[in-house]
Amino acid sequence: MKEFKNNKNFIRKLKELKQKDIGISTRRVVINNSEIFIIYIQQLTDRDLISSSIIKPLLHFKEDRLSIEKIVSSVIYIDDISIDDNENDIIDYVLNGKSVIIIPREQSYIIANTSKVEKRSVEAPDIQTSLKAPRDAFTENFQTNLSLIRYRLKDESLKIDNHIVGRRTKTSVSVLYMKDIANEEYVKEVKKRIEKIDVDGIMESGYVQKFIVDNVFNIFPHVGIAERSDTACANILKGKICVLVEGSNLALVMPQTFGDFLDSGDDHYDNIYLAVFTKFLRYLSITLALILSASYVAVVGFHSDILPPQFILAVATSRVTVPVNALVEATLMEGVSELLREASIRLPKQIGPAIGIVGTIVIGQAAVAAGLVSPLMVIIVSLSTMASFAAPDYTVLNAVRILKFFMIFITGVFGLFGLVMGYTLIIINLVSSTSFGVPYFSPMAPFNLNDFKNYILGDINLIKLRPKYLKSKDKTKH
Amino acid sequence: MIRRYSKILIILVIPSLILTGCWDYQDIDKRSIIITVGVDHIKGDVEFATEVARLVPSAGEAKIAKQDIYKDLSYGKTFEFARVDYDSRRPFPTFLSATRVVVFGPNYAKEGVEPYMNRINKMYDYRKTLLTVVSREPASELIQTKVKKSISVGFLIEDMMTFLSEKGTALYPKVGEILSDISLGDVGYILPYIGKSQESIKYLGLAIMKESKLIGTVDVKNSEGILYLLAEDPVFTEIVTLENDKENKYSFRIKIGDRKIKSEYKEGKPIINVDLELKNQLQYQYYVGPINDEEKKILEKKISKVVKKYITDIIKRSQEEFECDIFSFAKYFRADNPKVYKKIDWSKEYPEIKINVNVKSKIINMNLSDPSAKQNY
Repeated sequence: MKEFKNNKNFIRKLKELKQKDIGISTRRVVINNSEIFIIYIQQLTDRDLISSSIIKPLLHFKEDRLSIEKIVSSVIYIDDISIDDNENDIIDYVLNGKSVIIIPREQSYIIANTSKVEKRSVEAPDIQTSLKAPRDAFTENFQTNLSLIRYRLKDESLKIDNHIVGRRTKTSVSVLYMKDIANEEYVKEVKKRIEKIDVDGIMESGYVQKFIVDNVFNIFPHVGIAERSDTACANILKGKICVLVEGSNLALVMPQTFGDFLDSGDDHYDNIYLAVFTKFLRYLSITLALILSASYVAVVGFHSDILPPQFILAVATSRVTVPVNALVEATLMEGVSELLREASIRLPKQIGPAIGIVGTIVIGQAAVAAGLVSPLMVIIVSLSTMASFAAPDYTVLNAVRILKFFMIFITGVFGLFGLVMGYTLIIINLVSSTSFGVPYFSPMAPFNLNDFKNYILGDINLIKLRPKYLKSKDKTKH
Repeated sequence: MIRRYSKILIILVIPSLILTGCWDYQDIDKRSIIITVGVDHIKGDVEFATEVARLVPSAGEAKIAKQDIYKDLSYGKTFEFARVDYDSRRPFPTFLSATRVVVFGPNYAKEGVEPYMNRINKMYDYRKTLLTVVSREPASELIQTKVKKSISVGFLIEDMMTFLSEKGTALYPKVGEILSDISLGDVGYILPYIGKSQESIKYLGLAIMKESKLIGTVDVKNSEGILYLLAEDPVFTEIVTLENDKENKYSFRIKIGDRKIKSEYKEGKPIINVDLELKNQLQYQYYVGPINDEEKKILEKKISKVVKKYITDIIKRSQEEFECDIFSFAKYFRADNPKVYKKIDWSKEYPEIKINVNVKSKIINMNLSDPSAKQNY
């Protein structure tokens, strides 16, 4: 039963809001001697729409009696419209870019959706680039992102569960999944974790990611990101869950295994041999990035005898003028390489590449010429840095960047045994962690031949089943 | 988390601490990389003649460091004293893993190389695939040679022996194989024999080692019989003629198709049967002419005869002159007749045992010469 409201309350509320200095605008319209107030915030609304679809039809209205219901049903042209009577909600509606129409003598008010947010158009992806893939990347606009997904997945079972997160920002967070494919348990878990988030503001999907991961201290990422709408849709179809956050151009994808980070979307429809080859190449490059410098330390410092005799001399002569030992040399060069990388990321686009090239060539050449590092070390660092760009999702390689130094130190202390020990510890970490309940190293550990085969081949025509580790409801793809 | 991984950490850390650690750390450029070791006996002292890599930094335009070698000698009553003498002149600790060749001087080879072979076996940084050779000149003289064909004597010997053994004209016995022969006791072994020639190093033939002592050499020209029996995948060239046309020589490339060595024990005597199947390819004739099937068979028989003679001659020499089983027939006999082998003294029996050599040869390729041309066309 609706609570009876005094007519004057809305006007009083309106005056209160005006005093708060939050930039509320009020348009007073008088029709047949009765006042109508339209309240909105200029920066959040489409003022043309207000003028043409609310004010104009109101001013043209000639009948005597003007009621809330009459306005909604016969006067204004706005499509998304509703009626409310709670005066305390007015502020929320207005802050969300809606226009509130108040008739002083009425007991309820109209909410018209006239919101307009400044947004950029759909552009090509910046971080998940691919040769043969659609180029419609997500933008910061929530509705645009949802529309990109809806456009690709015209299926009634696509569920979009909305949540409001952030005490002050009141950011919309949507959980997207296929109702008849995704495992209920995972969906429940994701929703539960999102509902538990209690923070003042969410600015980016990364905020949500931080709050929902299993273990904040895990070095490897356990939530994937999708910059392209096709990647997000492919993951939803696979049985995964996608989380869209208002104001973020990166969707979150979960559960995400280690293998998924090295799986590029176009692997599934590219030449099958090339897909297998590139997948192998990516694993090789991640291994190289991780152990190349450490192997150099092991070979130069401890176990030179594992090299062929001819190569021993080549390595030794290349290091003659180097004043520091291999451990310091490797740490120094990797540090410089990381410094260059970090500097070139932060620099403006116009000068970034120039600094990258200058830094690499000048520092590399000068260091060798000055006899500070060996030419071999420069090759190794360049190769390991290059190798660390080969994964389609850069987040997994951030972990490798840190672990590379761990491997160098442990090898510097324990030699080849240290290298093996460090590598084993990393593998232990990978195989023993989970992402939302899914073993992180699936399908390699626990091993499933069919999933493994599908993962390696990746061809959309050959993969008839969805991955078993995702425990999806609908197990077949075709 | 640490508790969860504690067992794994213990399993990984403890062996690492025991097996290696920063106390073993020594950069490769801070070690004396030995390329060649020469061992000899001079006036009652052990002599080590070594070639060591001198790591020279780059100069001028060339940005890559240049490789260089320095040579020196050290002496001592024993290996250990010689090593002390050696180490006392060294800027860095010795590194033996890059050693390409160990040269035994004639004096040391005659006295017996077994001690040094055992030293190679047990010193962890020596490679067991190392090449060992015997030199005609004293080891120090050979190593001091200023070779022009390579940057060091060691590199030259190793490259030369690798090339010759791949071609099938020399043996490349590795230390590991020789140690296995030494441990058997009853057999001798063969090492490459090299010498100085015109400011360079030359492969002279094979050195016959009995009880690890040098007892004789086989010249490179007479070593074919040994290579037919011992080389891994030899390729030979033989020239034969037909009776009716002595002028026209036929040059054949010969490969071993099958080599079977079987043994038996009959009437109190070991018998060794060597069966060789040769595959011959005609390379060219001195004067081109048709060869019919009959002539082809004659050529096959001639090749068999020539090869059989090589083998029987060297076997005879090994029984009469060297009195030593350099072909390791003992290994075959021991495998076939283990009980008998234990009872007999193989080294004493060897000069008397019967060795049957049977060589079959087949021409498999006439290099586009059609033997039936005359009949068909």
